Amino acid sequence: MARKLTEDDKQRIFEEIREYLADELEIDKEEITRDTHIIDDLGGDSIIFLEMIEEFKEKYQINIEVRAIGQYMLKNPVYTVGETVNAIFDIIERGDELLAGLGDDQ
Amino acid sequence: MICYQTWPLELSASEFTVGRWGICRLERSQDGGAFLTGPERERAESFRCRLRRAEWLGARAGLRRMLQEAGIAPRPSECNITKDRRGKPLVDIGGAGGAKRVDGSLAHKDGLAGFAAVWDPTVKIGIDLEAVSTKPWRCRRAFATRGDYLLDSESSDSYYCVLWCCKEAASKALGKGLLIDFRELVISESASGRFTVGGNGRDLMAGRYLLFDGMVAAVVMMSHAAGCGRRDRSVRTGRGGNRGEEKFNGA
Repeated sequence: MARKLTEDDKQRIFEEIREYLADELEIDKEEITRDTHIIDDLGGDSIIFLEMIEEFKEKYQINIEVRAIGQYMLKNPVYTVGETVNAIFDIIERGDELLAGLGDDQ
Repeated sequence: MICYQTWPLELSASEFTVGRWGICRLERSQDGGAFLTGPERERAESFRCRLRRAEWLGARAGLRRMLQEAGIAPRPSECNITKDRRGKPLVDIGGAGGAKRVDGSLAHKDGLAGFAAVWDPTVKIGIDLEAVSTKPWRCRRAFATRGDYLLDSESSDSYYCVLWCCKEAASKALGKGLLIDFRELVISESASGRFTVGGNGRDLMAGRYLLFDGMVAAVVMMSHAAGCGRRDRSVRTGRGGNRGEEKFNGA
């Protein structure tokens, strides 16, 4: 279900993502900023992305396929924490309409 | 460089070798010698994660060394490794835009680097590395199905880890990354460590996986010309085995 996030929501989600990455990758949360590269700076990988997506899908009751998110990421590359946070905002706010206007690229 | 090991890749129809795959670990990021370029070392220096630096350099050094040993790229300096916009490595022998391009794939995990390449132009390759953990089990609904079949697994963690690793390697062979519904890729292990990938009318792919020291490495080949286009139903009749929901109450 798509929804409009407030600035407070967005700040909370950003903190949730930082905490998730800090826990999973055993890194001090304070070292994680919006510019931090998830793979090159934190040693993350694809299963981290997959699990994060699944957690947010469940938490915000979003009905969207991983494939659709992959398609979105092709148009909006996600490498840094800031890019990940923005992608999560988009996924939550736009839900099933995430791909509208992106065109088919499979 | 330590822990360097490679294996031949064979396609089932006639078991001819079409490529190789391997795993290595760089002891220090300064290692790798002539198998790495100046710009690669420079790029890796920008990574804050020390393990990631060793993985990134190790994958490239390992790939070049393997191609040299196979006689495909006698001069490592003439083996140019770039990536397309979906992250699929492009390996040009003879410099950028050179005379020969081989299909390559790279992977990394916990300081370990995986690399694979095929020199038969009709074959595509994908490799993945994973550490056995609870992560794949936790997001199993995104990729596992009742149709997936592995002969034996010690635990639900290793079962889902092998499954994810095989499916991600398959996605890499297809050049799809996350642009795929992983549940449409059905894994069937036919003999220990050997599996096929099929489903939804996709071409059948052949793969191998290894479980070692709490890690999984999987490699998948896809061919349109070497007898890999038919679905081998016999893999369904194997003895024992694990399907996710039956043994581990998953998916």
